[in-house]
Amino acid sequence: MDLYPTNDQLEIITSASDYLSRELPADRMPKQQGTTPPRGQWQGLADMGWFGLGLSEDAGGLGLSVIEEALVLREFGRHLAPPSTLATVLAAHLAASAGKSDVVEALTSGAQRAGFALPASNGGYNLLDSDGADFFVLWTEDAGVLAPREAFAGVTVVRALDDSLQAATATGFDAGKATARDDGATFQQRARLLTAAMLTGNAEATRDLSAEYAKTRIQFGHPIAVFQAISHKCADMAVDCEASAAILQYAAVCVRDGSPEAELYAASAKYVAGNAARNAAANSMQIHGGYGQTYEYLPHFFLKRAHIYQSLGGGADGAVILAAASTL
Amino acid sequence: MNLDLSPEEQAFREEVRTWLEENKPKESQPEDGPAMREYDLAWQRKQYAGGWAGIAWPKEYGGRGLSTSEQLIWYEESAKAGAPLAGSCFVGLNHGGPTLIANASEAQKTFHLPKILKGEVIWCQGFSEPGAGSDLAGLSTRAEIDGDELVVTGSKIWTSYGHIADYQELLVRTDPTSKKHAGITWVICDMRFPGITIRPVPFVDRVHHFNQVFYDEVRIPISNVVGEINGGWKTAMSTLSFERGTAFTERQVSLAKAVDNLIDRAKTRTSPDGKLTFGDAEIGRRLTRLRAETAALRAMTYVAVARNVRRNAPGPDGSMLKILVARLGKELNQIALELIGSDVVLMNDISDGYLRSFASTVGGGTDEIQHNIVAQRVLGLPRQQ
Repeated sequence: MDLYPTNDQLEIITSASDYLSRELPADRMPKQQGTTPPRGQWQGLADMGWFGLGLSEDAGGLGLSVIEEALVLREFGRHLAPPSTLATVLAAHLAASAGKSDVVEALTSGAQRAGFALPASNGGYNLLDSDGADFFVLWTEDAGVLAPREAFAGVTVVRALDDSLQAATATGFDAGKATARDDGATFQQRARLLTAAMLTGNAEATRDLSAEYAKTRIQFGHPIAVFQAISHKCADMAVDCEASAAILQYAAVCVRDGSPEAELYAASAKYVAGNAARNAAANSMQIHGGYGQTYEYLPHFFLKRAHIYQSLGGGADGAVILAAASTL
Repeated sequence: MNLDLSPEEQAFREEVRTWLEENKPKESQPEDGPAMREYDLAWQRKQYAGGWAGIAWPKEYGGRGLSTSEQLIWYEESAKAGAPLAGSCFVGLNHGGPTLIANASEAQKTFHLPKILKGEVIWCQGFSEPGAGSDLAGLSTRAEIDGDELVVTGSKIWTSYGHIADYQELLVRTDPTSKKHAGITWVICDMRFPGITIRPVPFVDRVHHFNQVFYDEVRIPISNVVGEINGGWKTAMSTLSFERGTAFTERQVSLAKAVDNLIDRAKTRTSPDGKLTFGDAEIGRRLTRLRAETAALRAMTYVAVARNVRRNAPGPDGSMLKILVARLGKELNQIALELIGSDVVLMNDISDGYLRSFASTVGGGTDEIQHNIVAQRVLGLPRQQ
């Protein structure tokens, strides 16, 4: 029993962190123009093998486990990588389980990519990270569905909550055109876990950003971190991040092993990390004062992404957590 | 990363489970006084006789010399089996003992450690004072050196089980001229020494748990000092770090059990207007969050153990665990209280548990102090003003 990354896993974390700090630093965001991840940037992520990390080698992946996927996506979350990265990882799994090896190849090689489709309050669909998306992952509490762009009707580009992403609305969806559909519990667990990974990284980056600002911002002749009204908000972020990262690792092992605890822990991981990310971002906007209310500073990007990831999956997490069998 | 038990650990778990099922006390733990002392010591003696005392303590002092993971397995199984908590033996097993292991002389270890493990003695703590709570280093209980004795005068407070204890881990000021943290000494005080008087301080529900202890020129042999004279702060900090380490495992498992029981109760309980309380969106959300965070707490415990194994000493993880375990315990008790409706006006197990839960964010270092520790040691923020 050892809830600590192995040396190989630590290397994977370091290489992802190094690459993303260089190629996708979070502070690129306020200056970013347009809503399509640049071709070269996307290809770079694909070339690192990250879109097929957890697929078997037979299915065209690297043959690692959901643990390594979670560890890499946590780094993606830290660097505000677009949600299409998570969507593409999930899309490749959906395609692989349906035996669509050409689609797996297109997605893992970086030739094509996926966005998310979410059921909208008006009965239609909200398409997220839709600019240049060839596929959409429609993840509801019942199933994960992978569908090509042409399965959606009446697509109109609209403004996204997060201006670095493109959103569109669709009036209809033709399920008959879907590429793959997975009704299994394993898909739900993997999807919740990997979303928790994005949220955990998001919360951790917000914690670090806030602590750094508190150390350097001087008021009343002192860094504002000496005031408990500030430092205790930061400490709460640290505790929430510790809880999120710990349950992420625990849940990842459960999902890999197909343990009876996977249901409770994967849903709890998403729930805990979702709260951690939202609360951290909200407090970070307060700690940053006037600057926290501007587009030029980062807290609002983390807040917007936290809401996006929390809204994925059809909102069934709470019911799953309460219904899951006791593991004591 | 894995959650698998090695074949040895699996066998250990089975053995623990069987032993606990056959040997855990049938009667419930008395709340206080000599009855509690007898009960706790008898249970400790039984564990020692069965070979389950001091699982991670060194063999030469009566322990089993096993690893932290066996200790963790024991705590988990003990809580699952509903075996009693250490109660009045807690300070000896989780503060005094570990501090002696880390800092005491060979003679002190050989004399005291086996007595603690064998269930022969109760230890209590003498740290806080009426004028030194969160600001522990501001303590003023004075110890003058007179030949080979310390002469102690002053007062300690919040001394749990002081009225039924044999020994006390006592912090005294040996050098009043030096700055706060310097000039403090950690000494073993025999509670039967002349000059000690004890005043009960009733808990919120009037249970006798706390005491104030007065020292009127109490003479303690210098050979009872653990660590250096004036080096007591360093000795004390190792104790507090232990308290914030894996000692929460039992509470964490009991909490998880209590959360599952509460959810079961909420599912069947109706409010006075006949509606299912479980259908109440707010209660449902709070229970969801509580269960998810309780699962996270368990994962945090495992992560803390994995880190401690690698660095061989507890870090600030314990403060993060303490903040979370206390918050979840209070929330559990608050939800439970809301579910009993107007029975809140009566003193019962639920209302008593609710009242007692407030102490969890104060005892062993307040929630505010834990936040300071996390801010400084986890995030590297500057010291508070």
